[in-house]
Amino acid sequence: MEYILTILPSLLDGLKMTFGVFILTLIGAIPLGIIISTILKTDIYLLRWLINGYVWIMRGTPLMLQIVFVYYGLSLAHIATLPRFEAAVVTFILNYAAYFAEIFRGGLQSIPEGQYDGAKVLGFTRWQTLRKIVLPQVTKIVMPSVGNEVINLVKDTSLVYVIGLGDLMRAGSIAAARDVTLLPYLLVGLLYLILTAVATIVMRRIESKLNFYR
Amino acid sequence: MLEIKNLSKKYAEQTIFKNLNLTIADGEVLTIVGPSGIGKTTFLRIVAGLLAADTGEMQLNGQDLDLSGERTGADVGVIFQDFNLFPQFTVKENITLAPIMVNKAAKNDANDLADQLIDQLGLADQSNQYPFQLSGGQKQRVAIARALAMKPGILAYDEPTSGLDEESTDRVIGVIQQLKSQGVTQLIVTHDLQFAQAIADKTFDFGTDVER
Repeated sequence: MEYILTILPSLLDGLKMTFGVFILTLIGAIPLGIIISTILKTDIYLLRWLINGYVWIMRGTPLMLQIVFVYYGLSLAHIATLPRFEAAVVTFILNYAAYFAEIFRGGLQSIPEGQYDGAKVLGFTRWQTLRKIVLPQVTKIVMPSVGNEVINLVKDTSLVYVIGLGDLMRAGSIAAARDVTLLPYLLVGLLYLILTAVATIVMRRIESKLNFYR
Repeated sequence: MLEIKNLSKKYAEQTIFKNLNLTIADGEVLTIVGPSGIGKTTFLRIVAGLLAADTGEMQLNGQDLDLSGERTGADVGVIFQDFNLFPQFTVKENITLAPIMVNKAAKNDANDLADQLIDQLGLADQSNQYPFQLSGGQKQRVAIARALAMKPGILAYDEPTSGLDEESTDRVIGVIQQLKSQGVTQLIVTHDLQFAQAIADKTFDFGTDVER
C-alpha cells in the first residue's frame, strides 16, 4: 500500500497527459470527421480523390508510425518542427478524424433520400437540412460506433510514449523498470479500466438520451 | 391557378412525356391517374421542384416556378407517399420547423398556426408524439399539416391512398374535400381509380392523355 502511494503521484501525472491527448483528440477529430465525411460525398472529383487518399493513408498505416513521422519526419524534412505534445495531438486528430469520417459517411448514407426531399420542398437550404434534419439523425445512428472508437482512443493514447511523452503507460513502465516489480503495470491497467468505464457510461448515457425516437 | 406548358422529360432515350399541357384552376382538385411506372411520380417530382424538366414552363398564380430542380421556397406543398416526416421531431415540431426556420415566423405565430392545423386535421391527441408512434393515416395528416403551414399555392400528393386501410382512405377523402371547400388547389397522383373518382373535379390520364 505504501508503495502504491509513492508511485501514485507519478502515475496521476501520466494520467493527466493521457487525458489531455484523449480530450483534445475528441474535440478536434469529431468535427473534422464530420467535415471530411461531407466532402466524401462531394461531386468534385479531385477533392474526393484527395480526401479518399488521406483516409486510406490514415487507416492503412500504424498510428505509431504516423506519430513518429509527424514528430521526427516533418522536422528532418524541414517542413515543420512541432513540440512533442502538439505533434502527438495533431497526429491523433488526423488519424481519428479519418475513422470518424468513415463512420459518419456510413451514417449519412443511411439517411433516406426522402428526408432531403421533405426538407427541400419545405424550402430548407442545404445547410439547414444538414444541420437541423440530417446530422441529428446521423448522430443517433453512429453513436455506438463512435463509442467504440472512443474506447479505442483511450488505449491508443499510450502510443505517445514513442516520442517520449510522459503518459500513464510510460509512468508505469518507468516505475516498473526502476523498482523491478509488475505492480505499477497492475495499477496502470486499473486506471485504464476506470477511464474506459467512465467513457462507456458517458457514451451509453448519450445513446439512451437519443433514444426518444426511432 | 397552376399552368403547365409544353413540359417534357426523358431519361436516356426513353421519353417519359412530352408537350404536356395542364391547367388547374384555384380550388380545383385534379387527379393524375394511370398505371404504375408510367411517369406519374416523375411528373410530380418535377412539379415539386425536386427534378429537372427538359423543357417547359410552369406558372403558379402568375409566377414562374423554377423547373431546373434547384427551386427554393415552398410554393408547392408536397405530401409524399412515405410522408418523409422528420423522426426526431414531434408532430407539432414537424409542423412549426419550416415556418420558423425558413419563413422566419415568430415562434408564437408558428405555434398558433400549428395548433389550428392540428385541430383541423384531428391530430390534437398526437401533437406531442413522434412520427414512429403514429399510424399511416395520422402520419399523412401530419404531412398535410406540415405542407399547409408553409401556405403553399398548391398541394401535391403522391399516391395518398397507398398503404392506407379503408377507414384512413375515407378520412383522407374527407380532408381533401374539406381543404377544397377552403379553396386549396390540389393535385393528386394516384393509381386508385375509385379514389380518384371520389375526389376529382378533373382527371388527367397519364396513360392516354400524354404524348410520348
